Amino acid sequence: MKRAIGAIRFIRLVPARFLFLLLLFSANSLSSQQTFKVSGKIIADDLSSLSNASVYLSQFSTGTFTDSTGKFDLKVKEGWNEISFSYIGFNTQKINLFITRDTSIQIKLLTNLQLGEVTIVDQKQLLQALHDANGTIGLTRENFNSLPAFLGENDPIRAVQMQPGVQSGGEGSRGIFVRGGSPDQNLMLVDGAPVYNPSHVYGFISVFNGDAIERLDVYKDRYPARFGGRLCSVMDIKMEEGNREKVRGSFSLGLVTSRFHLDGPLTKKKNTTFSVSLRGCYVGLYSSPISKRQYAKSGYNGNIYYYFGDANAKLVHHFSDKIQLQFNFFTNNDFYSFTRNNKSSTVRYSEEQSLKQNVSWANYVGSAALLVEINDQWKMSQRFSFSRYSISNVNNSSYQQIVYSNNNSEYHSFFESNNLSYINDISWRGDVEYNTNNQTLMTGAGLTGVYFETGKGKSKSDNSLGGNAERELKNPLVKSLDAFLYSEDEYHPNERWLLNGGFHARVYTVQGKTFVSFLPRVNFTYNPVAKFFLRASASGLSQNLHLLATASSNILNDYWVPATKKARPENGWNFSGGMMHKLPLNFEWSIDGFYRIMNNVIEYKSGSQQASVNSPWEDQIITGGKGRSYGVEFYVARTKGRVTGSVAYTLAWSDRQFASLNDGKHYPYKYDRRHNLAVQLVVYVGKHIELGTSWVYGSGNRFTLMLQGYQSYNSVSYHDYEVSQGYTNLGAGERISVFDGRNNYRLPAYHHLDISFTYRKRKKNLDHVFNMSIYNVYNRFNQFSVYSDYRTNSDGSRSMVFKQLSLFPVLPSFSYTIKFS
Amino acid sequence: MKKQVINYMVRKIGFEFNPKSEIRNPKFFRLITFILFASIFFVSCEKDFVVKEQEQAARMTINCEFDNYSVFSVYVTQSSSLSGLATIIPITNARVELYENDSVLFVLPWVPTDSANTFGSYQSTFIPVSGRSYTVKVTHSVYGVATAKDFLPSTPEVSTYLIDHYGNSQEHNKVFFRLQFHDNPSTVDYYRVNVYTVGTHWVYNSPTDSTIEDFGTWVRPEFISEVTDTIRDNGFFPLFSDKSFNGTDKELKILFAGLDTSKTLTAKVVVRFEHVTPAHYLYYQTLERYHQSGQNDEPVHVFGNIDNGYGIFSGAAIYSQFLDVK
Repeated sequence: MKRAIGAIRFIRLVPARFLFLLLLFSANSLSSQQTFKVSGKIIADDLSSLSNASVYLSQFSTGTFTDSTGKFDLKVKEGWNEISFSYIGFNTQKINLFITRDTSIQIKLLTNLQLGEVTIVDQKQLLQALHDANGTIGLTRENFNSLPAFLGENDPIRAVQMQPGVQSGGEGSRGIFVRGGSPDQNLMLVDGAPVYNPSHVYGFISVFNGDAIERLDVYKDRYPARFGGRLCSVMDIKMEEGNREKVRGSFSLGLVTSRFHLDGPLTKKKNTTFSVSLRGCYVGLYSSPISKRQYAKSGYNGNIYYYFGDANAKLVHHFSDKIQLQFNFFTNNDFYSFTRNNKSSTVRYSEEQSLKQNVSWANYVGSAALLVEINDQWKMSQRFSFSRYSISNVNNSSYQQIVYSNNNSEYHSFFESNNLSYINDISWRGDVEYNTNNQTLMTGAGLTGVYFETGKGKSKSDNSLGGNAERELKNPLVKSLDAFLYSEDEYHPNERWLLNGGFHARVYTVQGKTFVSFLPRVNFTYNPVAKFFLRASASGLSQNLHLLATASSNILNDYWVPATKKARPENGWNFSGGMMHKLPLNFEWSIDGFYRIMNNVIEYKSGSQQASVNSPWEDQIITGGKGRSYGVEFYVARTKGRVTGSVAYTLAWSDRQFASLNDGKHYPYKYDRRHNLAVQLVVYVGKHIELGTSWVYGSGNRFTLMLQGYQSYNSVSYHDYEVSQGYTNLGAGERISVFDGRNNYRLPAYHHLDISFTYRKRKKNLDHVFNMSIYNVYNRFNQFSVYSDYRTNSDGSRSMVFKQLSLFPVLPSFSYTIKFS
Repeated sequence: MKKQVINYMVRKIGFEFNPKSEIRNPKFFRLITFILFASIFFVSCEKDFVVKEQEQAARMTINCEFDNYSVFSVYVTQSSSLSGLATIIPITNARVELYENDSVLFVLPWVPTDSANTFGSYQSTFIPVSGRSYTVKVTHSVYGVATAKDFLPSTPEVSTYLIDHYGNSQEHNKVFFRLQFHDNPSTVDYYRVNVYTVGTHWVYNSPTDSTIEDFGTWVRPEFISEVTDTIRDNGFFPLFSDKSFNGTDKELKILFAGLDTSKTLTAKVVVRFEHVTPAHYLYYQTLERYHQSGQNDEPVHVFGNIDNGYGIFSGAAIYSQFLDVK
């Protein structure tokens, strides 16, 4: 009821002109005659279709990319329009069209590669991410590949993190952090199916293989009504569909990873295409001897193994130019193993300790989609998808044995645990799209069934004092049903205005309780003068799941849990507004402000442990938290040319508030990073060489650090008693560590400079690409974790010191890639 | 020197770079491999983390738990940096004022515990009164002014206070104790149970020298009756709330280990039943959570009610009797 009242209040606030956007189907009659559609296809000189080619409307600085079949749709105004078509390795073509009605064209781009010993000629153009006037950011493989590689990998997520308002969580953190939100608040869709954990170990590489991605769109300013289920952003990833004309592929050999990609037509009719990408990481080959050596230095016998692999496959069958069936599959599997043993002895005792940790985690994502273009106006799609994320700890154990030399008495303790957490998600969604000259209407519905099992497992302990104990932990299996309905209208009344509005409604049922959300969405783009745009948006948002993450940095301590009766669905609002100016010579700048409020966020209670260890997760959380984040983003870029680059700066604040935490006061969110700066520069030098550099700077994460200690009442009163009795050799009693507030300390800034050198050569129909990159050139020690330890002083006393662990020092890497077709 | 090193490396590794001919020498790859492995093997990623300690300066710590049986005893110490040594450092030169119902009552003098003045507390000469609030204001030239306020609750209205059964040594001296009290319906109340046994016994110092000595033992009680929000002070004495019996006459059955009376001359049982303030309960609740948390768990903030300082200032109204067992 409250939500409904909120919606009504919102509706009262918005200008009348937006109200009619919500009356979607009545708006069609109001269409203007000034806008028309230019559709077409871009092909190469060998008649193969070019997917992801850029189509750019010069005077309005808007554009689009071609799809996997080389097709595109572009809305233009009546009259003369200059449209440019470009693709990497091809000469850019510009045409002037006088448009008086919907028009269809075919463009053939000529390669700028010479025959024989072919080299790329000087006209090569590099491309930066496409920032749309309405705030959407589009990235293609070119953008990923122009960034300096990390351990030989051009990671799409790292390209996203170079955009304003988007940041990595710091050294070794997983996922992305958008405008002060947490990683679970970003919806990551792979061909329409959600991916829950987007990172390999320590977050150093995402699970998305750049070879397999055709296009990646990021929505953080505005939330089109067709998306829902998260509070912060949407990353809509479209996988490579496969070339229809010929088989092509690549093989890349790197220091710690290798990749293989193949795509092309599957049948002679060329109406079925496939795309397969495989990637394997063998860092364990290095980590094992390195860790053994490092542990041996510290007097331990230890070992760290780590391996991962991921695979992407897509099959597309074109029944006709207008009907296609797609099957997509994606998986990643990671395995991490850590062992450490040591023996020590003193005059009084001998001690033996061992620790073992085995963690494996995986995503399995599959989808099937039927896309039908009924006619020029009507399109529809049906999509079924499945997504599973699981994480398991197998035979994690600790063992300690102490034998005292005076009486040979023995103390031992042993603990072993096994547990599994998973989330299974099965979805259907159907969408219908109706296009007119100046308007696109979309509507659709979907249904998702989700199974959550968190921390199901057993533990076993045995010690000399407490005897044996076996425990079984079984959080109840939670089943939920999430249905949504949306309607969206994108209306282009004239050349200056682009209005988008609609609603997204969700009905979520869990544990016999139903939560209903009605979420209005509205945004506009206004073009008062040529190439200058104003934009604003307001979006109601909700999400029906939470991510439990501990404050301590550790490997994989995050658990997805469903919204329940106790941990209610999160909801909030996002308001955003800004301006963008496209300048000559492909320069552009933008400024955007944002304010987001979040309700019903959850946190671990003080002193609580990981959900899988002791008690059910619901007993370990505090609910009903509020969050807010606000800030300003600045962006300057040169988007196209032989020298491209961008500077993205974000000034932001983010905090949380819980009634029962931090005395009910607001406290900074862990990722409250005041300044965030990402700079990149890519230069095309000569015929073969591309140089890239990037520098990332972010204020340090927030951290709860205890610096002072005081004696408890029991300590001082007992000390008083001891003094009164004349005891000597008095102890200090118990000292309570204290901090001024949660996340009271800001860690030092996170920054690193990366450079890359890429050498390309084409010989006998093979493209040879050699890449050498250096990550963290000046060897900055960014904090992965900070922990307390004790140092023995010269007088034998012990005092506490803090230590930091960094993961990635200066890391050179290289990869060699052969592309063939 | 630099040039010599570079020349040496060029000779050894054979790396030549000629921009005109671009990169053709395969030894270039050897150099890359060398740099790569060297950097991974020889760079350690662990180092000391320097904390700007001045960001959290030392403060006064005030500890006082007052009750209706004893005079005020306010311990004033200073907190210390966690990177320093853990010692108890009393503050002996503070001005400690005590207010009752917001009126100045006393300036508490420093009373050393031992003749060497190594420790002590600021003590009153009077005993607090139930139903009144007390404020302590501590002023120090370095640490400024710290204040705290709490009240002494009403003494529990106990109607039954008896031992149901005192087990013999075959029954492991188990004591079944029963207590009935009335709970105030208009407030949220918290209670605490401390149990200890006292007695006298012979102590044989030598075959010809034996003396009778007093002794006392704290005992960990277990509840047979159901109570809610149970926590324990240092894992020992339980505290609970009236949530499940608010405003009623509550019967509380308690089980604990008594003395083996066959080995004592006299034996008494004391069940100290305390009506404590919310601050007192919250302090021990968070302290228990603090004790239970590990290094990788979410950090716990132990409740304190000292403005501009640390510690606890809380009241407890005690009802207790000595029950003779032998």
